[in-house]
Amino acid sequence: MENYLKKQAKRYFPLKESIRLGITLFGVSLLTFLMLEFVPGDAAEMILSSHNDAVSAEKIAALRKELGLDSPLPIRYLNWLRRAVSLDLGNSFRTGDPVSREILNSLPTTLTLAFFTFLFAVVVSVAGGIVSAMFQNRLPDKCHRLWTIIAVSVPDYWLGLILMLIFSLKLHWVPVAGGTGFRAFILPVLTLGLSVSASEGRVFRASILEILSQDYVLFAYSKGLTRIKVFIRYMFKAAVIPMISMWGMLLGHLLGGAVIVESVFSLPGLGKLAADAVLNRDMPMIQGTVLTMTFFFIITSRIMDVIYFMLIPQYRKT
Amino acid sequence: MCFNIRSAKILFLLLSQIFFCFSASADPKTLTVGVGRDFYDGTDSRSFLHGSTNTWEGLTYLDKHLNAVPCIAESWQSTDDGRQWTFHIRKGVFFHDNTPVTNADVAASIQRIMSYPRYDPTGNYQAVISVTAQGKEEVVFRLKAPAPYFPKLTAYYSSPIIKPSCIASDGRITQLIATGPYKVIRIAPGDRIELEAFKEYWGEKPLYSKVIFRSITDAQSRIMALMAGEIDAVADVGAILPEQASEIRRHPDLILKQVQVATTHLLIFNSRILPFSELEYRAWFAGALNRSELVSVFALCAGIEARDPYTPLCRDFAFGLIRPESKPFPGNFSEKEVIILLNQATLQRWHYLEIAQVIQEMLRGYGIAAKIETTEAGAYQETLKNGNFHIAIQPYTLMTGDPDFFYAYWIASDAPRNCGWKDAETDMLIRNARYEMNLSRRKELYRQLAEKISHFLPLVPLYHDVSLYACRKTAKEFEMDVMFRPHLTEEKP
Repeated sequence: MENYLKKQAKRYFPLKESIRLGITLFGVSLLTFLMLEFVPGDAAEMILSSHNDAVSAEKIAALRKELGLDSPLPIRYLNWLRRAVSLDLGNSFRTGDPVSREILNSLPTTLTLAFFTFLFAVVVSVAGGIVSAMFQNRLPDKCHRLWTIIAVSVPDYWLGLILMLIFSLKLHWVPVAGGTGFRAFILPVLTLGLSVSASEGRVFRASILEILSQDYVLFAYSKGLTRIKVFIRYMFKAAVIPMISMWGMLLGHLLGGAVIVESVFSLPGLGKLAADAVLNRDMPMIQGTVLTMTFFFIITSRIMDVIYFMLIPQYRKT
Repeated sequence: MCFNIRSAKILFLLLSQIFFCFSASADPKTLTVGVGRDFYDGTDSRSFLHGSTNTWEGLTYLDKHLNAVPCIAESWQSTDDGRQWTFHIRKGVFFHDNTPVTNADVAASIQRIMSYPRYDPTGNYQAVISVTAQGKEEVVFRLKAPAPYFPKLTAYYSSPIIKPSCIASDGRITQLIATGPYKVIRIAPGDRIELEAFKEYWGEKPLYSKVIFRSITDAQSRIMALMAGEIDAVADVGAILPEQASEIRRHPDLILKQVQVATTHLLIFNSRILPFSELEYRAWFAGALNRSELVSVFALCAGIEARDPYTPLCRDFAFGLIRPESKPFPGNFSEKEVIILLNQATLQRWHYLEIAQVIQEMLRGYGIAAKIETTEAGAYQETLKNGNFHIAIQPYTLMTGDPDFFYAYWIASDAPRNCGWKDAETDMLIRNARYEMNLSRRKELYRQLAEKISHFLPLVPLYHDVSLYACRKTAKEFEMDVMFRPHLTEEKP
């Protein structure tokens, strides 16, 4: 009986997850739609005045009609939802181009930035956390703690400009803004990754310190094992497990784009696309970008669940 | 140890040379311009790309005095009653696919602009009954009412001439095939637009073989990119902030340039509610505000104290009459708090917040509390309409170069931005001036209107904008005109 139930659960797992994903996306889209409705201002007027034009009232009314903004809210939402179900997110109010195409165009930049920042943050936070914990209250630990406070406190915008000033303007190693290839991502990754890795590093340090006082670790030391052996065999995996959900959140967050860093370094990513859409009251684009961000967030958190599932036997049982 | 350090240094230098060495394109015929926004306007826009890209042209253009000058139309004439305008299309104009431009192509482009509200936001063609191709090279507009300034209404953004086969049935532009001195090679929305010189261009030859417009939204990053030599010039409206001017001047490789543009910064009174519904309060406030000081402190070198409600570049209709005199405080100020309304989107480009703070201090000196309300663009427009403010500051660009554009938008009783001041005599003057075909009589009517504005002060012009732009010494010929458009041909603005 138990085996049968397990098999059934396994079989219906993807279906259950898909339904959950669908409900979440529906809820987010409805909330976004309602929020946009209550923001003051007229999208038609904002589109028409995009070139500082003194727009006429008749033209605003005509465009409202053309865009369907004069229909009642439920009708507009249902029309949008009907198209969205078939993956048609509509056309951007600003450019008239399909929203899905603009989002797809921005994804390579966002994925590259997110991937390398994530990698940088994980490597640096793990390394920093280990050094700091293993040399607790000694010089390396004090330096690391000071460093994390500074890195977390410095605003991304300021850090980005300072890095630009040193590495682009003075040393000419990397381009100031935009550019092509991996070099264009070095400064954005550093800017975004430094503060993230600092905060994650502190959590990782705390996680190791907690494990250091566990009985099985003390037992391993008492058996005469070296610090490195104890760390690799017994501590590392245990310390990493609580970090997994944090890394999942971080990756989901990074995949949603980084507005400030993308703006400072002129990277046409998802964050910049979303910010521009908000400024231009480009409703279909706002809906599309918010849904994409939500989708990434849910997917990464599910991937982290799977990793948890694989790493922790107890979790698998429940 | 010494060896190790030296080795490390050499290794470090080698690595830096191999992996990081970066330099801008050394091709002298390629110009890279950094701009603060995306010049890709999209398929469902008037012109696909921004006019500054020099990829398309209109029927006419505006010169430095905002008069209509020939472009695709070589000349024009009207009937005596001003209800019919005939434009003669220039011979030898080719689209980027090397096909000749005909008057039917021009008429089709204008019809597209007229047919969709999105493409004619200012309603420039609302008086047009029909536009037709006539004979071999004429395009004829028939109007409901006389329009003495009609060639100005067809200038630049109002009439981008696009090849008809590139226009879809719903008015969208599928690809940009137009007549400008540069044609499109590649568009990466949000990032860059790459263009190459169009060899068959009818006018003065393009200066560069290739032009790249790069969208660099952050003002500091733009300047750094210019200093690093990654871009050759920084242009467009508000591309360089006044406080960045001294830094550019000090740089040995850069040249700072400036051009007076058609934008005027206005202080608008809400005349619907007290206290500024009363003339004595408006007159007192306008006289108390030291505009010349505001300009010298905040606009630095990027402004001229305004004596006209719109740009004096339009010199036929600039009278310099707005010189409010200082008047005693009328007292009995009924409002508890004056609301100064600002649009967040304008604060990055201009020092409106600082100007509002000066006004706040000035009012405090008279015992009046003032609150600065900064809202995003949509909310700003909404508040202007519903009237929950006392003073607002915003820019205004005289896009058509004709004063009717200003009066019909701000002053007439039925104007979309009328903020409460209404006067039947002024409305009559506006109507008469709009239809007056005789230039000297028209001037006189606008002079009378300027007198009205200077007396009743429904708004106070603060300063006329001077736009700053910069280039590297290697691109010193780079110029920008009054419509913010970079001149990329051998012709001088």
